[in-house]
Amino acid sequence: MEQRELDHLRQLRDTTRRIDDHRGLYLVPTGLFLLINGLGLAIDRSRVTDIAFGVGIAAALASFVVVHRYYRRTLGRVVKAPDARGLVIGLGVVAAMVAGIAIDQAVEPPISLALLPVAVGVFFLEPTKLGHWRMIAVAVVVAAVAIAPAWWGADRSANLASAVVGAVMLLGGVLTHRALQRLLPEVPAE
Amino acid sequence: MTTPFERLKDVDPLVHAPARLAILTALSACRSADFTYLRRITGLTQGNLGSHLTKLEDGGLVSVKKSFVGRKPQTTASLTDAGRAAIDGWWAAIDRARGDTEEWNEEA
Repeated sequence: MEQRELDHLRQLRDTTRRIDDHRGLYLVPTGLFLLINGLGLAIDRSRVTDIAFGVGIAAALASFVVVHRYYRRTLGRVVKAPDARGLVIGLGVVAAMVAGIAIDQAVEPPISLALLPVAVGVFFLEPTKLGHWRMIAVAVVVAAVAIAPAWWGADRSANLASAVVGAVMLLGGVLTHRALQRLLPEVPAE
Repeated sequence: MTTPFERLKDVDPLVHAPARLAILTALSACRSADFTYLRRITGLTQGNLGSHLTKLEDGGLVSVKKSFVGRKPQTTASLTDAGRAAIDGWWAAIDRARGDTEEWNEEA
């Protein structure tokens, strides 16, 4: 067996193990929601912008259903094996975020303590082999947004955080999906 | 003294075939996967995948369950304990053979 074939098998194993992370389009509805939310809060409000905001939010939520059906049709269903490391990172990030939100509300520090754990969590997800540079770039962007209130003020930074994190999720989701498409072999015609 | 290549001949041919290796490797990385996913990840045709899954099921390496989700039939496959041992054993044999080959090359 050639090295190329062994590498292909290892890639197949890694892709299956991390298939949920590879289904990047799932990030798009949330990214869209956050982007619209951030932009909607930043501009002067009128009836037209309120309607556009509502339509945008509804479209973002509806797109989640579309994405779910698309992946179910094209990629089928995989029940994951238990992933202790991912579970520990995920629970750790959520616990730190909850603590960060509580501290942000109580003390109002000059930076967002709720967002910093997200940056750390994204950084540690790098071994998913979704693209080293991409995950580090996302972690840096989220960390920058977390410390933005120190310079920008809390209100403007909240809008900025929502829009930037949304845009990053949108772009990251599409790029991750494209990477998955490149990984998968062509399905031969019957 | 046997060479690393001679030792590889003992690998189970039911596991060693490339298409079946791909199926077993994919299933070893999850609890179960349906037919659509296995077809997409391995790039096999529907007929080929069905045929290999049947062979693996007959060999006791894979468990195949057929059910309906709504009106659509769904085939789900998972590794049996014997299947997991077989694919883990195959990877161990390959890694051992690679190590032995490097030693063998240094000695030669």
